[in-house]
Amino acid sequence: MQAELRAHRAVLLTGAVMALAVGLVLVRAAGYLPPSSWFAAAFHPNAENVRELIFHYSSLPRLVTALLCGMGLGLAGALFQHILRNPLASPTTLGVEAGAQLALTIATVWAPFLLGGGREMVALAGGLASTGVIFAVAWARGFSSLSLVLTGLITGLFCGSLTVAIRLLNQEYITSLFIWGAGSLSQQDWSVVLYLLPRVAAAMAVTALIARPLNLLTLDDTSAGSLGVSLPLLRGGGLLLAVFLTSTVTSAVGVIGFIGLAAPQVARLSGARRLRDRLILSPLIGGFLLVIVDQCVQAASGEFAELLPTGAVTALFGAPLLLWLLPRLRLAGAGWLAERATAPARRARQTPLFAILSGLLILAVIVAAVVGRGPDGFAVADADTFALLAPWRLPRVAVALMAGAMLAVAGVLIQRLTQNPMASPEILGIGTGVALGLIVAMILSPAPSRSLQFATGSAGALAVLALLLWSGVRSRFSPDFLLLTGIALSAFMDALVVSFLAVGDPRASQLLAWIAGSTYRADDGSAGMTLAVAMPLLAAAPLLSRWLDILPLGEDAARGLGVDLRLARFSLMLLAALLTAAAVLVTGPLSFVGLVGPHLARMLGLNRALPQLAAAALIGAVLMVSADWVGRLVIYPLQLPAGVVAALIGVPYLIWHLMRRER
Amino acid sequence: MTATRRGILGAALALPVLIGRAGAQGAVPTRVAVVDWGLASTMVSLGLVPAGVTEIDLYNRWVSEPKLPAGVQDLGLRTEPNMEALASLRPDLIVTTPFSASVIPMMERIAPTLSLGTFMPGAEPLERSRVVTRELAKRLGAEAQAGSLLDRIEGSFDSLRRRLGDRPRRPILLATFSDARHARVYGTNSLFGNVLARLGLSNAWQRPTTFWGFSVADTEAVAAYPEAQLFYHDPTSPDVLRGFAGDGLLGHLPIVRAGRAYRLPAVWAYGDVVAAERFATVLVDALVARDGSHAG
Repeated sequence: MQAELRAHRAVLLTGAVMALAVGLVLVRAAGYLPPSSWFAAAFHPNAENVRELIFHYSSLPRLVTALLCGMGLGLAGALFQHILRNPLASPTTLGVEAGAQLALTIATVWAPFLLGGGREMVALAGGLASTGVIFAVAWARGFSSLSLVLTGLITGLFCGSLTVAIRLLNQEYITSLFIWGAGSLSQQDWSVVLYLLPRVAAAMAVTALIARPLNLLTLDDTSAGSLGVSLPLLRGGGLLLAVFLTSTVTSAVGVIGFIGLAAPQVARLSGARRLRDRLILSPLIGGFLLVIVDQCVQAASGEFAELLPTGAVTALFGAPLLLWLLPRLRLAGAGWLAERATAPARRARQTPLFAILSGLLILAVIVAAVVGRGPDGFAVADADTFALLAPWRLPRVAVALMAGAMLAVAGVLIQRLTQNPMASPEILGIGTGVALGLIVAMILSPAPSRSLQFATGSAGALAVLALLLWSGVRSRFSPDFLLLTGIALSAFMDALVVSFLAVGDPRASQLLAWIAGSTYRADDGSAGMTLAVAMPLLAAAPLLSRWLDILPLGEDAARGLGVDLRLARFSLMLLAALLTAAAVLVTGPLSFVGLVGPHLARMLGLNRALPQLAAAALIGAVLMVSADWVGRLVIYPLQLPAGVVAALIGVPYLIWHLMRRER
Repeated sequence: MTATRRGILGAALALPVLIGRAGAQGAVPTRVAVVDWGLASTMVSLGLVPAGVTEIDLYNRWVSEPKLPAGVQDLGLRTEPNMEALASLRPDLIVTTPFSASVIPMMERIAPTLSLGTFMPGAEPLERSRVVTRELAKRLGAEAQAGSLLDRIEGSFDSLRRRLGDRPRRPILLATFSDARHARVYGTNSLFGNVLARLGLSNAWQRPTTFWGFSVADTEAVAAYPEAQLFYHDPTSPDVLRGFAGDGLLGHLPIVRAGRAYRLPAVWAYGDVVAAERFATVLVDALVARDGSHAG
């Protein structure tokens, strides 16, 4: 009975959303064309009447596109959330959009003829390729929810930073890509509708067919196995369907992240407990929700700007709502992030290890300081040249070194804090907070000075930190909530950044350069500042190593050992956030050193906190210094940002590692 | 603040550079590094050869005229010129725009920096480009050349205006299409918009723009001007060309069906006084060619 009542409530809510959408559409349409000519305009527009032309070729297909995209994303989100047993799984989490965007960027810059055959196909290929990588990893690890989401995130970030690097070097192409990335729904014919309609319809039909078996996924693996159902196959098939839907939608209109996340959530929270109900209601809610947002965007776009990308707007509205929802979610299969890493069996002899790592760092610093490239090719600097170039090289080396060490240490803290060997400072969303601050600086002044950028950037980082702490307090610093808040926050900030970029302001490239993780702006001043901040923060980390050793043992063990969990988590978070903010301000948010450094240290057999911290800091420093050096040389006189180079080295390694390691 | 910004690292190493710079003050600079394409184009048009310019490959593709002489060194990205390349060039002057304000303190340590802005909030870019040309020439000791360049360009504007005659003309929409659904449309405060005014033509796009002078708009917004004529700049991607020929809003726009949409060769929209003249020339050529075809 209770379930019936709840389902009724969900249906009522869906009906209300639909009524609101239809009402909005009718009012807006009536204000544009008299209702008597709607039918004629829809099918046979008068070629002399611009309003009828726009109605036929733009307004109507846009409406249908919004509906179809919303439905597709709503359904995809419902599938993802059910299969991954993760209420915040989304197309973004699997890196589908990032892969599609990378493919489009590559095609635009190097093979524009491919676009003549339809940018949809290019984007779809990219989305499927990145998902293929994720699935390959997940396959090797039995499709565990955690490995999927984390690989998806890493792949997404990786594709994202590659995209940024390519765009940086080809700035004149970027406007259209930003618009696409921001999810513009504007149409100029029916081709997108004709592209979407059969695909979304087919996906719905398949969903109807597999809805019953999908129910089994709520069982745990052994009981379902005893029923004779291959869970990996079922999960794989269901995910493939959701990925197909997502990349179809994103390839047609770009990134519209929030709908796929929110629609199933609204359905669930309003009472749709059964999978069947959610699979029916989520697409309806998604579709009509997107129509509502898009109608509002169109109504507003005449007033504020010519073009507001709908996808960015959905995220601006949606992400805060998600943050509000987070503490209210009961996470099904609680602790999905709490999967432990199997500790490597061998233990390293530490003294030679640290000697080698320190030696590597010294070598990297010397090479980076002395070896360079000029118009005449590679050169080892003589005394004169060194005196000329040192003011540019040394601060970069110093900043890269400090930032690498800080990110790696922050990574160790976060990984131990969340008991998740694949977590990283990037996930906390602090970098995006700094990006927001830089945008504010650009709005305040057409040519922002460095100190203004530094001030607003720090303010952005601190705002994110405050939010993290606030949500941390509410959730008693549970690792799941921490990471999920960070992800939601990143989505929100990304939407803001993308909207700013999509307006086509040429200053956007500065922001882009920073996002890619460039040490370019490092000089003696910023190097000194970084040093002054880094030293006390790095020195503080070892003082917390007892907590770091105890926390991964689990809450009960920690309490048993007399640890004040709140205090420990709060202090570790604060330190990790400060370290990340200090590093990110000078090298950008996209470096993967915070992920790779701690991981390599663990691989070397350093399981206790203190040696892992020290080794991770050394590795992080070596990685960043070398990445910066390589980025300075490879495409001279252009330069690749250190963050991107670090990612190019680190991410393939991580993915290979994930695939190889036994579950 | 100043004490911590300087001094920690490399200050001693920077000292020789600072001393070296003081000696060069006052003389006419001969090794000039140029960070902005518009300023590089102006300098070449003044008959001077810059020692280094940023992103030379892309300059050749997007600005194309005037050509940069061979032997000019590439300095890297416009937004992030390569400091090592810049320092190795040993310039006695670096010319840039306020756009790179955050890098200017760094460039100042290599050589004196001259920052000249054509695109400024509230300013008209065409008038600014004249001022910028004179200021650049003054610093480079080429005032006479600047005078004759500006005179020649004004003369060219005048004769282009005469070529247009006094027949009534439709308002003009200027755009660069990003894809078949979106375009940058240039407003009255863009360099091109200023040129339209100089030629006595009217700009159909009267909406608010960024201070660079364009708005990002969708095809629907362009459709609101059925009486205008549309000029779109290269580079134009294949799907936009298909859109113009196809069965969609772009192909059905009254402007397009009436044959009033014209493709123009690439001209740098954020350029200098020379880019303005080049734009005026290609535009008037297209307009006059159309007059001819209608008469015939």
